Amino acid sequence: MTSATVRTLSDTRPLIAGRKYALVVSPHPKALESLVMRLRANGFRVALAHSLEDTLTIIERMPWLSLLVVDGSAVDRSPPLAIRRVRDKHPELPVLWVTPDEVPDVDLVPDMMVASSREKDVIQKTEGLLGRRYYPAFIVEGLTTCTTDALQEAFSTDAELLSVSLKLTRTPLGNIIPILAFAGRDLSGHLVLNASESEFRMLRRKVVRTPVEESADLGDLGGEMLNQILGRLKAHCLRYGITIELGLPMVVTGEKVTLRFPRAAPGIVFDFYALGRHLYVEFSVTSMDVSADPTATEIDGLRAGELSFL
Amino acid sequence: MVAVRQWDARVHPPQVGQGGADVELARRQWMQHTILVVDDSATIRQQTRTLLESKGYSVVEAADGAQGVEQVKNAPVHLIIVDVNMPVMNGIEMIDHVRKLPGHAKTPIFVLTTESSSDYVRRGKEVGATAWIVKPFKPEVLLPAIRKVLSA
Repeated sequence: MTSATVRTLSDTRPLIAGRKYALVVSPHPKALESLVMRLRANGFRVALAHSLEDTLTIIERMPWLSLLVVDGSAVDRSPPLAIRRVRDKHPELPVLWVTPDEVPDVDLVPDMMVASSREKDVIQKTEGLLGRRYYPAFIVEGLTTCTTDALQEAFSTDAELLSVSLKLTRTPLGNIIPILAFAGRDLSGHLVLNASESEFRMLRRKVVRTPVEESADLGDLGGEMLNQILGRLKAHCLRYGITIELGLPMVVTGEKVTLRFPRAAPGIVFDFYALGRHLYVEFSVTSMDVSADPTATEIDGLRAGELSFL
Repeated sequence: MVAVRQWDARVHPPQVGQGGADVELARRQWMQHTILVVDDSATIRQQTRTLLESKGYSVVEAADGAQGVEQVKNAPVHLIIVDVNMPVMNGIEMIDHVRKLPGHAKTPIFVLTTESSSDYVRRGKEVGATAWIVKPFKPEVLLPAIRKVLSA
């Protein structure tokens, strides 16, 4: 077994969302007033919505939102439908459901339920909910798009996202594990590529036609793949005011490799289907604070494949 | 051996019909443009080399900015393609060094990188880069740009 400690770049703050933003949804302006006050007293910034349409609009405008509080007694007459629509569009957003009643649809279980906003431990439960690792939708969507685009445009390979899941432990598919660190004030961590050696070989033959391939060549290819994925993610994050700097790719090789990232949080794993095999892109975060910056904006910059004379 | 002839030939280009096959080879190499590809990824270097050689260019390689500067000092280079994020010396620093070398104030330098932000592009422009390309390169974009600057 080979064990490698991967050095992070400059920023190794623990994973803490700097500010807590809650959106409270209730058709009645006064219904959850006491809960709003208690949330604010406990450091939350609270926005209010009175309809489902308002809710979805506000969530779109506030990608850094950390909690949705829903008054289950009456939201657009159909609470299960409301929560289903939010869940479909934003599966990453924790939902606290405030209702004295049972939720009729068992498929729509919110992350946490409280019978009344006046429950003594509601804030404690809310903090517990936020203690879970949480990844904003724009990062999940961004990494998905950046990976499929990079594979298609740079490596002539179509990839399909099969699933996104929390990473607990994962066995490397092969003996070659490319890693690329990134760091920034708001976001830092590592991107790891987990694919089989045969898949690396197939990918390399798509771009470089040489008969002999050493494992170093395959590792180099993996490092460059991560470089191009993360380069795109960097441009994507910049639209949200989040700056990251790329490190240099490194490749760990050996059987039954264990990677330990100092202070890393449980990451998320993107499972892609490419060239008839699984290819996992693992996103491990050492620090994340994506709460401070505003809505996505267009930025100046070149797109992949573009050339500009200076 | 060929490299020495090539270097000599740059000063006194051999004439058609003059000398034997080795002189003819040197003459062709004198006419051929040499492009230096600087990238820490062997995959990118090989990919770029394959494309450029298929179009008749001669290609030399370096794996980081410091090696790239040495290549420029030691052999004739007509155009440089350089990445930004590299160990030892990054691409921006390398361009800064190359621009200070005698005879390379106007050598075309293309930056080929995953970096796309206007801030990086501005830094490239400040040190004297000729063009900025965001990876992956498209042959139909890269090759006309190379022809354009080498024929200027």
